[in-house]
Amino acid sequence: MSSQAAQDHQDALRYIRAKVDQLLTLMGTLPLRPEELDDATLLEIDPIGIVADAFAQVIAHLNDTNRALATARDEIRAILDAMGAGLLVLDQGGVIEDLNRQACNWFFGGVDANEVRARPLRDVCTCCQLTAALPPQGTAEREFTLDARHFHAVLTGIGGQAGQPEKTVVLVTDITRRKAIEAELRLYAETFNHTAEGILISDHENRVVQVNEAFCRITGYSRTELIGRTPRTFKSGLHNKAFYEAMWCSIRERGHWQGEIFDRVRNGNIIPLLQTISVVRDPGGRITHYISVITDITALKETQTRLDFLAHHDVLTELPNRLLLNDRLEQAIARAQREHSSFAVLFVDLDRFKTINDSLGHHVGDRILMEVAKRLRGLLRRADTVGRVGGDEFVILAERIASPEAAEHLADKVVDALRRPFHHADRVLHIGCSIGITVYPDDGVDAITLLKNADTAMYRVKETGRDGHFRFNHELSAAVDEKLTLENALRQAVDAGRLVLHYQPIVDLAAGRIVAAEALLRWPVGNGFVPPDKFIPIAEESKLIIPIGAQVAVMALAQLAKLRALGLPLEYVSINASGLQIFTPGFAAGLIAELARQGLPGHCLQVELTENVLMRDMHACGAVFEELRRHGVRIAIDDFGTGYSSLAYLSRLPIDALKLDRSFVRDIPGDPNDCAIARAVVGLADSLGLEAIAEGIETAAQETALLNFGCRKVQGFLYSRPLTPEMFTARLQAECATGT
Amino acid sequence: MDEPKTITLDIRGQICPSCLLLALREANRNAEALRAGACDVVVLTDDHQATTTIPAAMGKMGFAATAERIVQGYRIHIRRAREERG
Repeated sequence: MSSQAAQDHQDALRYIRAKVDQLLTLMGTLPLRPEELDDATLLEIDPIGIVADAFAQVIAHLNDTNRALATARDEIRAILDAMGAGLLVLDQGGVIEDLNRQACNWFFGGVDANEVRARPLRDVCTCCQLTAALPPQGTAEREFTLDARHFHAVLTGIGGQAGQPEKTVVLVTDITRRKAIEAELRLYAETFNHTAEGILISDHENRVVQVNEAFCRITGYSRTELIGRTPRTFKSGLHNKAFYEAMWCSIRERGHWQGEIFDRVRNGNIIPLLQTISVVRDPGGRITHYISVITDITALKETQTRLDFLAHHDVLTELPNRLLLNDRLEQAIARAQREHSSFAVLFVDLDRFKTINDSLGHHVGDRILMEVAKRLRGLLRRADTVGRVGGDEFVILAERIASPEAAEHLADKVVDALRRPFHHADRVLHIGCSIGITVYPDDGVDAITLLKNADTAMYRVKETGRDGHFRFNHELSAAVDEKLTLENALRQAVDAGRLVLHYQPIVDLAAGRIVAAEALLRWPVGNGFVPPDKFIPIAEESKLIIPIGAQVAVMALAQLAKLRALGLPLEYVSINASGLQIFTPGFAAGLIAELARQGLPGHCLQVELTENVLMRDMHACGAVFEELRRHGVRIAIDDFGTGYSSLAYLSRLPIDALKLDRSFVRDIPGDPNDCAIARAVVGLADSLGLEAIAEGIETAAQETALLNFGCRKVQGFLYSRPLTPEMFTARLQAECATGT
Repeated sequence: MDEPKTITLDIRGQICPSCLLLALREANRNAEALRAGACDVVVLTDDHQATTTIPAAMGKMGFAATAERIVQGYRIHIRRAREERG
């Protein structure tokens, strides 16, 4: 080999060694050293070929790795896009490097990711709560709201130096539903804790796991005392085994039970509860919990008891009312039938109660009634009943009385008790009572008859002066029946307009002629008349006197108008009015209207009232009188001297005349006492500027005496009996014709 | 799967980089079988440096290589990378 060729050979070998070294260095190992690998071996093993082949494998491996990486990247991208959370990767400057589909939808209006990638987050995302958290210190968490959604973001800084992360990964989850559930749970918790009903939740073994405040309040146990216990803690012992078996049967079969139950609370008391127990099951149908809701119905029960009491008792006196009394009466009848015993019914009506109630007010009346109830209760045995059946009416049921006399003895005691004065605010009040007595079975065998007959007997006491008692008898019943028959007939007569007026002339002795007439009511029956003293009280009692009074005014004024139309000089017609009429609203207005209808001035009418009516309510009378007086109507006091006289009213009220009662006229001039009274009445009238009219003149001697006393106006049989309208007209016409 | 065939390359007495070149040549020759998992190559060497250079080069080529100490040097086991096995 030439030196040049040798040189070239050496150059080639150096080149090979250099390239092999370069390749080996790339492969990660040491360069070749000539002492380790001689030239011959170098050429023999072909290191360049070996390393080139190895490189081909490295490249193939890199290609495989890249393909795997690309696949993995696509997988991760798909996963990130498919996941429910939003993901953002930001660089150090807050520029978006990458983001997933959910982040695009939530924060960038659903645009393609490429439109926001490589742009600063602050420029494209308006959610300041998210951008404000950048960059995070380590890991930061934020909750924020965007478009009515709630989000939770975890920002994690990765890479870079401490405190200055290279990138920030933001993982955002939508917690709207969680927030809604939390709010709902808070609401349930509030409801659970603040509901008025007590709630107890127990597990499948019926061990208490939760109770609310109301449950603790109702039972007196604290929450910690109850947790872990079973509801048997509250067992009152008042319910039997069957009760609980039925309860559990309902819970098992229908999933719930509702009912009233008595439970024992912590302080040992037993209280009534309204309870509902429901089961809670898991999706597999297994019982997981029991929910028990309780309401304390103690107050409700008390109200029910009170209402029950009120339904059967008088509120004011707390005595049994008519309903309960009837019930007791029925029981007494049944017992008396069984035992062949007897009992008494005392119908007690207070005397003068109405006067006290009207004059002193209801509050005084109520106090009196309460005191009466107290006194009556004090007189009775335990087995007896006293009830209040009306305003001032009480009924005493005295059971197992030995004899009717025993009932009367009890009545005596009641009369005495109520005769004792009642004291109210410095006043001493007297009332008293009238008692009607019936005894089973003599006076009735049923409740209605016994009460009705006792009431009848009580009225008998009222009629005969009050303040006492009377035992019912059948004659009384007959009298009552007769009265009732009469009342019905009177009602029919009023309705049919069958009542008529007769007129008794009132004569002026000085003038010697008839100047007026008193209209007197007559009830024609067959060929005669029902006596006024028989039917007038019935008319008063039945209040028929009100329509009757109106008819009287119409008839009397029509008659007067007729007479005046005939040119007969009658000054006025006088009608009688009862207290019932006077105190009926519109009484005066009715009379005034009737006068106007007949075209008569007010002084053509005189209204006669008794003193007793005046005394009942002088104030009310005064108002009626004033109204009548304004229209000129005359007012006369009838039967003067027979009633309760209070001379004070004579000067105070607008009165025109006093009518001297016939009882004082009958025995004059023979009886010096009657003469004195008659003279005094006439003198009184004269000195007060009133007219005196004497009634019942039958003899000339009576007329002379009265004339001597100064009485000018008279009426009586001496001049005329009461006359029919026709006869009265004829009488006046005759008088006019003779000029007397 | 059948157990892979083992090809043993005894290069004791050789030092790097010859060791590496001989190991690479053997890996190149059996590249397909190695990749398919049909064979493993076991290199027996007494050059300590080879326990670093051979596994490093094999890793770049996509194979797994592990070295262990044996009585007369080292045993380097070259096989298909784990994740590539079926």
